[in-house]
Amino acid sequence: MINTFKKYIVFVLIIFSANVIAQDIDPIIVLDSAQNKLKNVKSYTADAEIDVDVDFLKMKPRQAKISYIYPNKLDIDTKGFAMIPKYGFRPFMKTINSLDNRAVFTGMEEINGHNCYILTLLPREDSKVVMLKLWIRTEDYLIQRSETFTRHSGSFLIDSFYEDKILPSKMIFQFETKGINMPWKLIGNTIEVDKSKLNDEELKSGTVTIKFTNYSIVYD
Amino acid sequence: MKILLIEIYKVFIRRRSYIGFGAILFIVILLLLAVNYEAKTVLDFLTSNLKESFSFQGNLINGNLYAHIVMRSLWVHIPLLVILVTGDLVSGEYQSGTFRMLLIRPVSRFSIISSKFIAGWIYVFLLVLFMAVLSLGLGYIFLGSGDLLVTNNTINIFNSDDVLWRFGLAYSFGLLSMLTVASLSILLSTLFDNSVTAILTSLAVVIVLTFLSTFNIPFINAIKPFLFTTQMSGWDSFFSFDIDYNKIILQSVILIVHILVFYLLSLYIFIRKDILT
Repeated sequence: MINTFKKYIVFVLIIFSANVIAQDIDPIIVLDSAQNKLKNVKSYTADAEIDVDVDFLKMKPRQAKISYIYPNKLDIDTKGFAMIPKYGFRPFMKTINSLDNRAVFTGMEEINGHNCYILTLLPREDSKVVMLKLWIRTEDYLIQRSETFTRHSGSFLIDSFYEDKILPSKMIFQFETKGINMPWKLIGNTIEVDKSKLNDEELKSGTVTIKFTNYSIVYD
Repeated sequence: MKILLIEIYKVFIRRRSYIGFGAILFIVILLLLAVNYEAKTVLDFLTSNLKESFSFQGNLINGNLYAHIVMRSLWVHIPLLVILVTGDLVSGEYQSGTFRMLLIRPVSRFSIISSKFIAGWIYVFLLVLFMAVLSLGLGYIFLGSGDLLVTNNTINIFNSDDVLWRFGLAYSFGLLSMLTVASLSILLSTLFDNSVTAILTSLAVVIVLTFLSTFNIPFINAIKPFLFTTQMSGWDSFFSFDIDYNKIILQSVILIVHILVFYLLSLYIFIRKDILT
């Protein structure tokens, strides 16, 4: 009986202390700190290697030249064909406005050896993105991970890795999608219809790994 | 050598020999228009699920895609065009009675039938070369170069500089397949005295064997690997990232064995045949 009571006390204390931490951390301050980190970035150019790993598409990694100018001018120049994530190349914190989103602090987590604040952003108005979760590093306020939940195209998670710049040296983009609309197989001279794929709504997962080199960042 | 030149001359003097070239030219031009106007719609359909999360850079509707579509579309029909000419090579001479004239001269039956085969093979080589040069040439001129998209079980995308050797090997393998078809039809042409019978029988054999190779019928599966029509689709293997060269070598050997058997059988039949027409 005493033991059960002790456990109850410990449980209440843990919950209470977590609430105290949550109350102490203001999501707007964390978000602003993360935004301040990048606020002076006016534009950047970088070389990128884009490697798509998904079971329905096979291609060798592609080289690209990325050019970004605040707020939304993004040019991606590739030699040949490339499948490029629509999210991730624009520095997140340059395009997120804390006034347009309701930010909620939802905990702490260690990601790839970095302690992170977890913020959940909910757009105040209707948009393609229904929720955005950000893992912001406690030591330098860089985005370690983001998870975007879209209205129509599933969710995707981006892990960022940094070296000496405030922009990532590598990003791993994990996504889920319905895949390609290909209910047939073309093999040699024959066509086989895969009936199971005619109504295939199953989500396929995949990753796109982007390695950035030769950054040239222009600050205000 | 002289008899070979005469046989080559005989092949190319006939109007029938140009039907194949004309048909390829017509289909290739039609396909160019189709690719130009329809390929984007097909591509959009293929990738429509991905467009919310991804943007696509680069032009996939290009000369390489077109040349590959031409290969896929025409390999089914090229055997028919080949048979139209090679099915008549020997039986045509039975029918017209020219063999009796030829065989009173000091020419061996071996050299006659060998020249027929070589002339037929040269025709096939030129037909396949014409198709390759025309499809790649028109493709590059009107649609430009670019990465090649190939749809098999998955979408494979090859860099533009990783494509030409694949076409080269695929066309070489395709040529081997067409030489097998030509050899079969020359064999049947040696067997029958009537050209129409030889051509129609060759067509029927190719169609039936293709049917057997294509459909999954349990009691046929055991013999399928030995049918040349099963191996003829091997050219498509060059358009994958993991090319199974052992399989391609085996397929090539099977086709070469077929060619040799058809040639030797033709030789045997022709040498023993009483030419009475």
